[in-house]
Amino acid sequence: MRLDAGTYFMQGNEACVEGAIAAGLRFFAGYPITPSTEIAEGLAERLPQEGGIFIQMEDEIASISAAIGSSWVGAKTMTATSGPGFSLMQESIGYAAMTETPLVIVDVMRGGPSTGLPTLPSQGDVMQTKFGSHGDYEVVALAPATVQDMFDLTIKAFNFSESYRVPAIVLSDAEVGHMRAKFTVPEEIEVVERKIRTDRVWHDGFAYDESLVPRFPVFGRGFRVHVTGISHDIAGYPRNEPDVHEDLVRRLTEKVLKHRNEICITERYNEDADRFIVTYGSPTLSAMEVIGSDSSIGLLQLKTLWPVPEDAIRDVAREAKEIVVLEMNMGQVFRDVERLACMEGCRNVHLLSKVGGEVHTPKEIIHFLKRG
Amino acid sequence: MQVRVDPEYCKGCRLCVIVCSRSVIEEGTELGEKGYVPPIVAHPEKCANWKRTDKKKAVCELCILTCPDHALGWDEKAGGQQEAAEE
Amino acid sequence: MEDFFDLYRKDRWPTIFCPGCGIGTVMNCFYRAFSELGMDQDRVVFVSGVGCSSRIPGYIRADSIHTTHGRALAVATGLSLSKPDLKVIVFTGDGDLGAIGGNHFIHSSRRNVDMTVFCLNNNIYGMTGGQASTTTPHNAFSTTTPYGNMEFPFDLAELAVTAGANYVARWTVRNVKELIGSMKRALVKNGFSFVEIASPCPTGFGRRNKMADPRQMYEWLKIKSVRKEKSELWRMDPVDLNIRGQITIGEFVDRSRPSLGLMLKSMLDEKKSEDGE
Repeated sequence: MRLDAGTYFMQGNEACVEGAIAAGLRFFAGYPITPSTEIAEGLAERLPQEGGIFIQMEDEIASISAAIGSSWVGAKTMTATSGPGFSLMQESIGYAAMTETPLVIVDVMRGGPSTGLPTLPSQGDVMQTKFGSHGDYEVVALAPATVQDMFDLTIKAFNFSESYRVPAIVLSDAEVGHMRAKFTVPEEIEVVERKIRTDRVWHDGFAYDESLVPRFPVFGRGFRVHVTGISHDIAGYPRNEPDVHEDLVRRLTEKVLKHRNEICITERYNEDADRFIVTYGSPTLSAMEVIGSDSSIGLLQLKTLWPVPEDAIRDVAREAKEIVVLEMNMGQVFRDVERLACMEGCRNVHLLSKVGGEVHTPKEIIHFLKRG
Repeated sequence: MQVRVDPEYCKGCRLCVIVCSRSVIEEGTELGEKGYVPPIVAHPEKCANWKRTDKKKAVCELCILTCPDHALGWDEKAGGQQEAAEE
Repeated sequence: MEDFFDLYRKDRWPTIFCPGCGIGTVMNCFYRAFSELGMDQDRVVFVSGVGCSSRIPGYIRADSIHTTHGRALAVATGLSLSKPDLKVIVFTGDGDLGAIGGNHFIHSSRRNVDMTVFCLNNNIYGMTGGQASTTTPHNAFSTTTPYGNMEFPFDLAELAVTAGANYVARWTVRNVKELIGSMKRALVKNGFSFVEIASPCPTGFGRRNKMADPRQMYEWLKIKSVRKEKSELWRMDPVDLNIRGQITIGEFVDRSRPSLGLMLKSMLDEKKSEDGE
């Protein structure tokens, strides 16, 4: 059973496990990698208690492939990894986007590139989340900053993935994954299930309505649907005509972007400030401390990273005299913030980056804000 | 019954010609509409199923099983059934 | 089922396969095996990777998933474990299974996941134009071995036996009757069953090795294949199934190790009764 309503004290990764179970996870395939291993270990114990299936596969590619297979028989599936494993999974993420397979991937980011800093946080995988696989596609990516977020946003990731039939990534980091804190499980939790096909017409397994999301033709019910990563028509048959592919790619991106308003979650603090910090993930906690003692500084916390919350960023840019982006990378979300801010006439956009494996401290942030 | 060749599906590979141990099928000579030369069923009476009438009880069938394009099939109405009935 | 086109998609005929390709023959045999067993085409799912052999599921009127190159067995593992009452059948090739998918092949056999795998081995990468594969014979020519293949081929059936598969057999497209029988045994077997089928690729392999005519490749298969029982080499070294370019055919192993799915089910059932549900 999922956790009863109440307050708990857990590690971020453990809260992610409970969030997944609350969302209805039935299948997990994973491979050990620091700092995400606790998710696999937690589910190895918890999933069988719920009658779900856990399997440790031989590598990350096998993990995500098994999760994709399981999703097609109707199960909610998940895999968890970190940077190096996430890189391996990219081809399959593109495949999940192309075949519109609901799937959740947790990436607990660590120092990179390559083997990097296995036990320390970074935010280096943000661009890779959207652009890691070849071709054009959209994903949903959520960035938890607290243990509460690990619980809540994991559930939200499942909901978005099921609603829009798109891979949803929970972009955590080693700090959030390993920190221990209190979090609350509410009485009511909203859980969304994918819409399953109701009729049995076999030549349009991928037909869609105005939502642009086809109803899911789950395996084993006689839909006789052919699923392929090759460009396909609404029957699912391989096609290579330019107009068919054009329609397919545009629909795959439009079906997510059209629902931006529901997907893009942000939190804004100190509304009337004229200088803003924009950040996500673990630096958020330090930023909260800074704005707590100075109401002239505002904070825009991005909880959704992909699609980019353009409206929220532009709203801030319209009023801000200065924007400082905090990132534990060489500037990834910064690129979009700067672009959007400039479009609103705010050219005073700066990046405070740290790549050594440490989170920004409030002191460092204040010092940067005070520079001449 | 006798085997027949569907020129719509045949790709002219001629594997049916060599797998038949009784030389029932021979290489064709006429170019079909698809650009291939389909084989001819030259000696249907040599086929082990010549006198049979039910394709479910067919024996051998190496040609049909081998044909990669499902271009060979049984014509249950043609063949040596008449002879068999008269015998 | 009454007719070939009850199982296959007539609206997609004729197939994309070259004249003389062995894939069509395997499809014929599969139809016979499937219908003779009376299998329900709505309780089956077909999985494939990428390549010519992997195009088979697209021609079958059943739930099918055409995955990324080499990952068919991993996807099949997820399908098989999540819905054990669905029969999982995999069509793959020597490159898809033996090269990029090698790791998944080893582990699916080791885990003995319940699925039936038909590997069409044409000793080449056919779809991409004729590059060498892990089963291309020594000294053979291909587009990436223009001076002759310096490497020695893998024996896929042998690998499956060693890794722990429950049923392993190898046939060529010339042995249609035995192949149908083997496919039936593989389909009903619980656990990982593997049938390797030596299949000709006149366009990719044959053409570059003086066997452009499909009939020449058929002769080659006849010369190279030896029944297990009649093989001197097999008698000398039963571990090595395919030495000196010989294609040893027959059924190599038929055992009943418990499949992962069965063990998982008993673990979950135990947990359920423990919790008093």
